[in-house]
Amino acid sequence: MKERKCLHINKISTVMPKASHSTVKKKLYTFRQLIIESEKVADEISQIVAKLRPVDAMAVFTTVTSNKSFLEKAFKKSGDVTFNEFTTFSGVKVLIVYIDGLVNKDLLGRDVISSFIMKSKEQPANTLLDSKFLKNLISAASVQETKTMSAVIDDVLNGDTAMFVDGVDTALLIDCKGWEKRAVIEPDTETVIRGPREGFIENIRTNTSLLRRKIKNRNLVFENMSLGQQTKTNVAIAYIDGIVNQAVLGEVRRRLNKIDTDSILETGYIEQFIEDSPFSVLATVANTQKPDILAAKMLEGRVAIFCDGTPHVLTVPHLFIEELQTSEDYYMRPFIAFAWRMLRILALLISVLVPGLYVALQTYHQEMIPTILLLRMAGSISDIPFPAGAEMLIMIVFYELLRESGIRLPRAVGSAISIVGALIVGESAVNAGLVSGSVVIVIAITGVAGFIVPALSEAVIIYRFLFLIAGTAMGLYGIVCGIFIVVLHAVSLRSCGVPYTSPLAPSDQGVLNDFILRFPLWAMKKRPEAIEKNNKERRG
Amino acid sequence: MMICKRMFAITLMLVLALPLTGCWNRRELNTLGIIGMVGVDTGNNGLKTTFQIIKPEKTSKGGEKAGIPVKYIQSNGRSVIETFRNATAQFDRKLFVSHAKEFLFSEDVARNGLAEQLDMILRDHELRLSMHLVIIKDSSAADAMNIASGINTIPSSYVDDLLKQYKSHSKSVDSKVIDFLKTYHGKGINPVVTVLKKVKKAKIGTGESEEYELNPEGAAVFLKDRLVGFLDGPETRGYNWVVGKVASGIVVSPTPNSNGTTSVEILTAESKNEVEITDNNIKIKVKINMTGMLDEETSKIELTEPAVIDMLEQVNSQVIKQEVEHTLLKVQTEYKSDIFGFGQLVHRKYPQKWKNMQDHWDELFSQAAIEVETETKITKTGKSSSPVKE
Repeated sequence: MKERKCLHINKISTVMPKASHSTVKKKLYTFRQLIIESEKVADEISQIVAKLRPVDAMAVFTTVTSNKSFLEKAFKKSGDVTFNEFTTFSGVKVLIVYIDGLVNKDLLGRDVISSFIMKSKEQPANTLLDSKFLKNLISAASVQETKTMSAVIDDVLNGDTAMFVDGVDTALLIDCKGWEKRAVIEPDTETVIRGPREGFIENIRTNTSLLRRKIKNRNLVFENMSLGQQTKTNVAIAYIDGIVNQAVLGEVRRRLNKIDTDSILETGYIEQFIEDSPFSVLATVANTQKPDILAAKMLEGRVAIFCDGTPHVLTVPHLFIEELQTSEDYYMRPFIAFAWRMLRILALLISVLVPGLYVALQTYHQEMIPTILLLRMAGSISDIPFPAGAEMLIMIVFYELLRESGIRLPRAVGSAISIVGALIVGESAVNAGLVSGSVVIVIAITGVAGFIVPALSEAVIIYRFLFLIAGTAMGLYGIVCGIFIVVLHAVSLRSCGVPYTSPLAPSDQGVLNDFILRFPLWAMKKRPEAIEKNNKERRG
Repeated sequence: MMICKRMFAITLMLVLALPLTGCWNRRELNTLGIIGMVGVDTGNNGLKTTFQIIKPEKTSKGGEKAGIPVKYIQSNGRSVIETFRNATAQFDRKLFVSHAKEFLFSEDVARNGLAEQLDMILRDHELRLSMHLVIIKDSSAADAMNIASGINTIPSSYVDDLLKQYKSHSKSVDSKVIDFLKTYHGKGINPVVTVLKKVKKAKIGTGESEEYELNPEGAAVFLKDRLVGFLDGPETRGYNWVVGKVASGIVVSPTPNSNGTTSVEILTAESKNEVEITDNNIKIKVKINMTGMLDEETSKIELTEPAVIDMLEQVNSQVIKQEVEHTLLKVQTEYKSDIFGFGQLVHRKYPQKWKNMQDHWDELFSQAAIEVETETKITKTGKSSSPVKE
């Protein structure tokens, strides 16, 4: 072997007869030096670039006037940014900057300006040059110091008040936020008979506090971050340390950090960026407006995502069974919960399958309909001008029109729409022989059942059309094919790595105690196995 | 690429699955003529079939529906299926037979054998084997098809409901097409078929009423697939006792030592039949157990006495015994057809001997000695313990 290597080197020397060991070594050394130097230059360039950016790295000026002119320029003289200059008794100039409407002016006047002037009166003028001492003159709860303008701008935009004192190169950021917000009221979409009425509002701090009140545990963690290049929306990941599935948490962090967008206006924006299968009809991210539901979900190991400006809080992983669960299932006694679960599953099946089944039975499988019912149906459609499938399709579209207009119209007109719909469809259309009475009944049942599982309603509408088309084209065979496709799709879904149909499809004990049956709480000893990997026991 | 391949495979699978489903038949409901009842008579050209097509009424508020909501068409042909096809030329809707409830045959068609006529019912995919099979006695099948003298105005539903009533009197049978096929193909048993007879209705008052009604009492006795005769109501109950199909009914017996009668309602009835062959003598034992409730007592007796009840039970079981013996004798001597299925018992108990017997079993049956044993238990006497009569 050694001989071969030598032979090899000899070959090089034969190719490059002048190259000796020392010259090669020298050339390599200079090359390395060049690399090191170029790296240094690159560093310097990046630092210069950073400094050239207008706002980011600018330090706070010592004079109030230069601070003021800088900030005026930075905020582009926006009308809601307020600059308030005053002087203390000792003649020191002080500047206060805040955004009108984001601060509580009562607090600002009493705890900041008044307190600062009165307390500084007793102090010698030169003590006002010490930023450490300045803090003591303000009686607000949270005061922070900063020396960079970017921090000042960010905090002012978040509702803090910035205070500059002449001769001090430090800005004080005082928290006296206060803005208009909605009261904590019961959400319209998740009304309950039993259980707490409070719902989240548009303010992220209120929302996190509502959750903290439910889970008084130091392990409840909120990780703050801001998303959106333009909106800089405050977003918080919430989880219970020790219960949360770390893999899911890491995945959520990774996906949130990857979001690169202008604006986050609602959690729906986040949902669309982080969901597992964007092209699926079934949602793989859940949302809720109620703190008690959120707390229950987090206690099963889920991760929550709060977003400022919306009462909807996201939770992942999202499983199919969550669509069929309500908070009341757990507040009521188990028997009632069982009955309601059954009812909801039935409603789901009805609202998805019945129009398709009706058309399939009526046009392909007349022998399966009881004679008297068949005669009724035949009588009611005897002079209908459309084929059964087309008739059903027209009615479904019409129903969706009515429903949508009912939501969009002002509440006062909405009731008028329902009257018009009921009169036109229920009475006149049937009497005029345009649609049969039985189709109207089918649509009514379908529509009513569709509202029982509200979280799935969007998917239900699409699947309803799918099954109607399948039933019209291929009868019961088509319906069965459709069920196959939908079930296969649902089983293939994952939400943050957790199988979507989890307690059922990779089945575990959850399918027994919290799927159709809801075991008594004292018997539900384990958290859902698909989500919770480590801390499975529900106590301790 | 991978997804493409998979999608292609799934599509291919679904497309290939399409021909597996068999009949693909899309029919709008308002192109169908729903047949309620089919009646077969002998016609000039072989067979004459009458179809009763139910006219679906548009449900309307108020306004009594006038008359019977059905239409009739009649067609001739050499075979049943030919008459079915010939009929389509006479009607504007596609004939749809899945909802037919009764298949009627006139007496003369039945006497010539039903096997040829029933083949298409077994073969065609639309016809149901659970249809009632009915023999119309003393008139043509077509004549009996327009009678709906009950509450139900559709004749086919009226007959359907009427036939289901057999359970409360046990004096008729409710035979389905499938029952006929089973008993016809079964060795050692012959079919018994429902009979309907068109009778004049008793006129009550002067009010408008239907002239005729259908009377389901009795049964038609077949030898193989040929009609050989009829049983009347009580005889049919005798048959039902033996085969254990008595569901309910009243057994009336004379009360001993008085001129009143005792009526017992049948609550449960069981039969246990046994066959014994010694040398060449066939001996059949029929054992019937009945429990009943005393429903009517027209003479003055002490019903609280156990001895009295014992006596009533004895008399009652005698009445049942007579009823059964009468039926057995009539079937043995007149019809010579084993409708009770005793042959099957022989087959089960003596499989070797059965091989020699099966071809002339009905002959052997008619000569067999039959022994009837009945037992009655009266378990209740109703709401009152003593008779009304003083």
